[in-house]
Amino acid sequence: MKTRTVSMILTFLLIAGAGIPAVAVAAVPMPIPAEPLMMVTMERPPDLTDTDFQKLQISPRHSNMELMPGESDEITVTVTNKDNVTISLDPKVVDQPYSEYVFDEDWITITPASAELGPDDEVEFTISVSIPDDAERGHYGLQVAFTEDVMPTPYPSPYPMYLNALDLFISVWSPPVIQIQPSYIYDRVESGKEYDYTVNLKNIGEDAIEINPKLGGERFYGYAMGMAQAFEDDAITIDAPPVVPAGGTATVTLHLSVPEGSKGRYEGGLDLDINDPSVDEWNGMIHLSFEVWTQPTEPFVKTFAVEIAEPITIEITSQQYRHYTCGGESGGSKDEEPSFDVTLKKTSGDDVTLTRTMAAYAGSVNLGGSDCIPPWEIDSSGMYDESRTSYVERYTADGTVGELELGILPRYAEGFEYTITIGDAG
Amino acid sequence: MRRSAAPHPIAGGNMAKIPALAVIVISSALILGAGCITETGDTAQSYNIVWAGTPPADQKAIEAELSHQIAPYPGAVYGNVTVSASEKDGVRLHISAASPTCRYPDLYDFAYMNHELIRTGYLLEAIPEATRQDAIGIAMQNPEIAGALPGGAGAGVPTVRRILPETAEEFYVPKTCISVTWADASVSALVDMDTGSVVETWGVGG
Repeated sequence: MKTRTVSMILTFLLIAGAGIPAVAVAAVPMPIPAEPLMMVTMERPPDLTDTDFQKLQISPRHSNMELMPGESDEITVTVTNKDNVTISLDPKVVDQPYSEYVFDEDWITITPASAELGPDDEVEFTISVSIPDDAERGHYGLQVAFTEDVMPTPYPSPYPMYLNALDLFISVWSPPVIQIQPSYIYDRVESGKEYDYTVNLKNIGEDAIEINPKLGGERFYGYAMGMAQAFEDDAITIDAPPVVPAGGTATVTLHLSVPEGSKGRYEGGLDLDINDPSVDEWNGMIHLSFEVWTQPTEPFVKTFAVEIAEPITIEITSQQYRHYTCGGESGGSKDEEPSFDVTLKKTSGDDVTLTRTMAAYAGSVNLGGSDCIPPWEIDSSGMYDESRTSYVERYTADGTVGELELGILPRYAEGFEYTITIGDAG
Repeated sequence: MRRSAAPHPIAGGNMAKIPALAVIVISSALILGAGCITETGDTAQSYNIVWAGTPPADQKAIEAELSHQIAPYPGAVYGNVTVSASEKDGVRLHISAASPTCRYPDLYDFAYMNHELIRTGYLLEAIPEATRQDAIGIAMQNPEIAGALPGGAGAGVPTVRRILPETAEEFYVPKTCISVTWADASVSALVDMDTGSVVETWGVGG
């Protein structure tokens, strides 16, 4: 019985002992022996061996055309045989992968249709492109392959890459029939107030063009990504006619009702959704950018100590930057003149009499152009461009020793700077 | 009697008198022509040129060249012409030409290089008041402009600027036009004063 007990204990210990190392091994990360590097031989797949192709020099190898529907153009391509055997040229049109639109082979003519080219011989092919009136506006890519030689691939490719080919890119375009002004609206707005903006459209075409303006497209503007908007889209209402008549104009009106208490910026887009193929999505978008400004109700307070009873001079400067609402009416945000309510008192509560001794306006005038001018004034308006103005107020107070509190409540100021001078202000 | 007889010799074909008449006509034309040229010359030279700061070495040559490159609006004359020169990156000239009968001056920018004045910009507002008002009236009668301007006094006072033929050519024909612009509303009309019409608009949808 005792022997059996001892045997059982030993058995248990053996089992347990076997288990402990196993757990230990599992818990401690063991270095994994690195496998010897395999030398990979870059062997060609069986179907790529002994690849051979006919060597042609093609000049140019790439060409671009910009054509409007109904227009045509042609290019001359010189093909030279750089091989030592005669090569048969049988040019054909091949679609390019990833082309926006599929090019119709009927739109292109290649002359001559074929050629036999001896060593060092050359031949000029005339490639004529004629875009029909009803072609879709967009980018077309194609190849003109002169031989059947293709880049070998280890697997079948839906778009074989022709080696002896001309890459031809054709942009089919048409001038916009509808003109938009302005292309963006940028304004500084006040919470709780309302603003109206207009976007003017002019249709110079012969057919009415449908529009369906709606908010959207803000994905194009990085500001909106990851930033909280000052207000939601429903703060803006749009009023627009459904069409811009042929040869006529239309006005899209944006009404912005800035929610009370909103702060920050709003960045977005007004997608005019113009049914005109000549206007792409980007060009039919009006960038909206609003900076919400809130009038402070409590003054900014600066406490400072005066150790010698010398006159105190306080100078406050604010700067205004031109807010651009070029086009249509300004949103009603007529810039108000900045001003300041300034107080000075002792920390004990006694007021110190302040006297305004100076107010000054200043400006910064650039010799540069502005986007917001009629095109026929481009030679003139750019000569002076006042981009920034500033307003300065200066106050003085009799010298008084002690701790003082300066209070500045700005009105219609984007910000301000202050200087407190004790003693001679110069 | 004598007056009525005077044309007769010509009508009657007295060829001997034709050369004499031709001489008189040509002489008159020359005198009148000379008068016109003199008048233009006087206009060009009637103003005083004042240099703000130190004039460049080519002062005289520049002044002579300037007289060919600046001219007031028809019906106006320049009084004082102030020239400011800076010699940064060559000689740059800023010209302010004021007319006693106009509210605003004409401004020109020039570059002077290789003894040649090259105009680099202009802003010409020296326009007689009557012409200014006419231009504004013509612009406001245009339906597109009228429709684009806010009602009441909200449109503000427009700027009225002379557009030189070389600029006007890009939008209309090569002739002097007037641009009437309401900056607050970003609306502008290009006005042909000869025909009294708006020939191009901007900011009313295009």
